[in-house]
Amino acid sequence: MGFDLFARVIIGFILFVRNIIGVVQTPYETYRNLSKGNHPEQLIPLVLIVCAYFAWSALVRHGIRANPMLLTYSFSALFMASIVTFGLVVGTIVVAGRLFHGTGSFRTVVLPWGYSLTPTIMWFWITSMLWVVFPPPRTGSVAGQLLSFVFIITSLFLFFWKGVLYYLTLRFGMKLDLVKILGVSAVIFPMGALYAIIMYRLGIFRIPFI
Amino acid sequence: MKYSPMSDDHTYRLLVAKMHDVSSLSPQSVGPLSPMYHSIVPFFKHAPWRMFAAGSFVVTGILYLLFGVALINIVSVLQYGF
Repeated sequence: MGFDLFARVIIGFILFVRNIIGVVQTPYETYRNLSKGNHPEQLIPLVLIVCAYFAWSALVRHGIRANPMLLTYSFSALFMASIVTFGLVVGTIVVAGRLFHGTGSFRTVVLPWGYSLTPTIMWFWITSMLWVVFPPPRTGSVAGQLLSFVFIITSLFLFFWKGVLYYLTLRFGMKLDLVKILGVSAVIFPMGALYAIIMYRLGIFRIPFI
Repeated sequence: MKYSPMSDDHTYRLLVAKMHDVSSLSPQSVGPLSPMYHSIVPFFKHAPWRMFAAGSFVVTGILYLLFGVALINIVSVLQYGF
């Protein structure tokens, strides 16, 4: 029993590395396989990376000398909010997808959407590290402008990547065509915007972890 | 020489599984825009990061032409967003 669990975790890690490379190099083929919903344990490394980010984020936000209780609260709030957000987004994709006659389920969407968090987590890691190395505000100097351009280019790169992974989640996870994906997006995006405002007002996410 | 049925052949079974995978979704159709769609999509199927990199350079250039140095303010706001 214990060995089985250990073996599944190891398999999950191997699949995670393989699929991360696939998401970068051959996203269509990779997402076609991910939408089968096999080996959900491959999301464990992603959860660990997200946990590590929220711990780091709490430290950066409040400082290393902050009260441990405050750091724990900040970490817990971010982590719980991200878990709830993940569940809500997957649920919304499934419900909205079915409204447009999609044939997927929670099982076929959870892995594709999980891997679509790769550009998200990369952006949050990059931004938080940049905040430490080059704290804002940026200036109009040559160095400031150069850094701003690099940041915008990086952010757009990750944004386009996220967009494609979102499309593939609906295409393979819910088996929808482009027109229906646009219809589902018209339902999901306003709800996402409203959710982002609520999270911002609650002081949990300035930019939603989606 | 002994022959085995084709259905026992490993390569054959892999091929059938692959064809089943590929045919599980009907080809994308977007009306009159279908030819354009099918000419663009191959660029996103293999190493799409090249398209993302090119696209992000172009869009950043356009944003710079539109907003000028004010783009720096957007970066400052985004930097507080993590």
